[in-house]
Amino acid sequence: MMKSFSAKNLLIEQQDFQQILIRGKGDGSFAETVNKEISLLPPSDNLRIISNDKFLFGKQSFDQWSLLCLEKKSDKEILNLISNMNKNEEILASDYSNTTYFEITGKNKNHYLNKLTHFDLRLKKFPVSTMAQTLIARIDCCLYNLEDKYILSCHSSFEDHFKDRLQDAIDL
Amino acid sequence: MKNKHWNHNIPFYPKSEIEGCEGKNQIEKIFIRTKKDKTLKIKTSMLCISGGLNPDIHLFTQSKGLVKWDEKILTFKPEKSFQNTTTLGSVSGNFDFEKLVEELNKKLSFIEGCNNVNTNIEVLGPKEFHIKEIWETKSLKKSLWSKSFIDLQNDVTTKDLRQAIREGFDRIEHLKRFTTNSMGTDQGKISSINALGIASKLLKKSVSEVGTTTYRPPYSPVSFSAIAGRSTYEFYDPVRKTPIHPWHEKQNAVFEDVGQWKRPWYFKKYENESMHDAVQRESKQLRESAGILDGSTLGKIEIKGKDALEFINLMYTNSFTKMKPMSGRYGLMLGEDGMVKDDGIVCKINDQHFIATTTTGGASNVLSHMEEYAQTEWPNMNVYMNSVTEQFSTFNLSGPKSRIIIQRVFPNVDFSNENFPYMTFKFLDYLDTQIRILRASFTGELGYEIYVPPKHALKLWERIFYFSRDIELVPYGTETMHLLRAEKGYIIVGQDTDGTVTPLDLNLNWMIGKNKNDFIGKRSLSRSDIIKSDRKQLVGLVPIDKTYGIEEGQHVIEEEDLNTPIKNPVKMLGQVTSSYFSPTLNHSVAMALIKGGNRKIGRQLFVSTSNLNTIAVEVVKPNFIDSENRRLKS
Repeated sequence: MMKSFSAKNLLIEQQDFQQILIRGKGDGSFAETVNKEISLLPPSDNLRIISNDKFLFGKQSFDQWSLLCLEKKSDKEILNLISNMNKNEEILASDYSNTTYFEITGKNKNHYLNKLTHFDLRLKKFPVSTMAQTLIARIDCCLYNLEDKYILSCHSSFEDHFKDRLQDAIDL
Repeated sequence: MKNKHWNHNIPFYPKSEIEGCEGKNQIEKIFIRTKKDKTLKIKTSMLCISGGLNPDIHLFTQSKGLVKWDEKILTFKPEKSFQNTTTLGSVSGNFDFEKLVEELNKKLSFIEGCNNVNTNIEVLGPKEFHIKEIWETKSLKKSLWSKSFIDLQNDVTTKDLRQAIREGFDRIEHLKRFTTNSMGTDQGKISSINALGIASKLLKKSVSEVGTTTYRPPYSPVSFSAIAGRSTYEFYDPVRKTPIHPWHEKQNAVFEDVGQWKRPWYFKKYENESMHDAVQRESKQLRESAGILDGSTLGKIEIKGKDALEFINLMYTNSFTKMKPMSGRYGLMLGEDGMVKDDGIVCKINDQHFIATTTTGGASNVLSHMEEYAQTEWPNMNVYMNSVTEQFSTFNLSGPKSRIIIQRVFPNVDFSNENFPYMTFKFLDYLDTQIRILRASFTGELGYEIYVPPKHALKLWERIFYFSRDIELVPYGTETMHLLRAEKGYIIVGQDTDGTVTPLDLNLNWMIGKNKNDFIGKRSLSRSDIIKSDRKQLVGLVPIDKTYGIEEGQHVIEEEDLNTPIKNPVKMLGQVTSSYFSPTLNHSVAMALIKGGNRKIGRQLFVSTSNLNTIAVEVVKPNFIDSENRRLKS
């Protein structure tokens, strides 16, 4: 269920993105396979993100990438994408669509998130177009810094608990 | 001061010291040695103590400033600051109130308006600061039991300090950790300086040479609630729910915490139904008809790569080389020590692609274990793993009528034994997505595991019930699952194993690939201690008198009588790991790990009870129903 929270200079909106988790060497063959499917080269620097209107591509670790589909696709299209990537036997692509996403915008977004995490959100530690895997409200989350907004994702099994914590932090 | 106390008839003993105290369970008397070396005895119920006068240099040292001991005023004073720090008053060694104004004006002159401070302080006490060291009072050693405590929170005595130094702990940091002096919640405010003084005398060094330990925040005690923050009450621990959770709630499920997951423990059919009654009902109905369990919390790991087959062969004891694609195998994972670490079903899509299931609680550990080996032990292997636990909801449909139900739900698939044999799986198109059905069971009955993307899970779950309207399909919880698997003799890692159990102890020798060159734990399985015949082995227990129940966790013993003298305790053979009342057999069944268990099959032993009695049991094979697997493969 979509839910929005808002407070002064803060808006949190739940989003319905889809995600593919990709593992691989990150070499030429890897980049070629991925690029063929989504016309976007995977970022090569750790924790760096690249995005366009359709996708947000983040490098989570030395051999792991998360590909968020920002534009709604059918399940079949996602499965096809995964199946095509998996044809390269040195790549493992898995459907990670059962993930919950929130977009956080507004001037107070850092002030708000600071109530939920120890992660250092200052620009010098968390620059624009980078991502982080950290604990937010004691839940494993991915946080993507897109200059004017953050995208926050966590496993959907935590969704109810996470929403309660998001609401609670607004009231703090 | 003196006059004030006298005015209120409170006796005051200047230049005296407390020599000792006495009492049982509480303080009753104190002994005061006066300046004339006389000892006074006073009845009391309270004694307040002080650690002496020391300025609070904590903030200065926490900002990494270095301190030096001042022999004249017997305190540490700032010597060199690390940050731009200014200290004033007693912290900087100035105990003279009259010189305080001068100090303020000098040190704070960089602040606008702070170079001409004037204060008029009336000093009632002595104008000059005098302090004399008394690191330890002369103790009144009335007996060997007398103690001179220095850290009242951690019960450290001055004798402990002496002993520690005698044993070579002559560095202050070592002395602190060995004795735990100054490690209580007061963070050494009472004991630290006195201990330093005593240590310096014993080591014949100055206090500066002995040094000081690190001052750590917080200065004032902080309550646990402040540290816990919002992690209290409903936010005490993050909660995970499966997509079927709302349905479970509507069906009066009582939930059990499994890790952070909320899992249905059992379903109450009516308000006053007890857990025992619910579990008996669910179990019976499943064995007679069909049952369904929400197994979405089951760990799932997708494994792919050129070397995936080799990797799986190394991670599990079983051999997967000759295993046919699109089939599953019950796999056992060991630690380097040969002990059972986890288990689950490994499904082979092809030699380069596998999906493994793990126990609910072990999911993240197994993934980390796999990652660790892939990255550090076999970095040249081309293999990758993704946790897909959250990406598939799992339904365990089981029971003699489960085939009828699943055939109705998926009419285009042939579920006959010939076309869908035990331990095989199929991918099916469902709506616009794909689901996977594995023919496997943890109940001992004909069963299917359905893996469906979570967004379609609830609808499919309801669809299954819709097609079972004329069949008594019962939703069951984890307690019934435990009962059913115990009847069949299936183990639960962590319940029937405890980190000291090998596959041989569980009679799972058949799961060890005999022709495999290697797997994690292989070497350990040939150690002399592992192969000896009197290790604890898994057996079944059945009460001789079928009206008795066997309690989980009780001792298994050879003697009927527990009342043996303390010098000759009852010899314990092992313990009951699982026990349930079987509605199918109408008596209690249990599994136990007992010494030389395999050789004891057929014998009578005894199991202790919580009211210190024993009940006679027969040792049997740990399999109570369908030992030929007819139901499973029907």
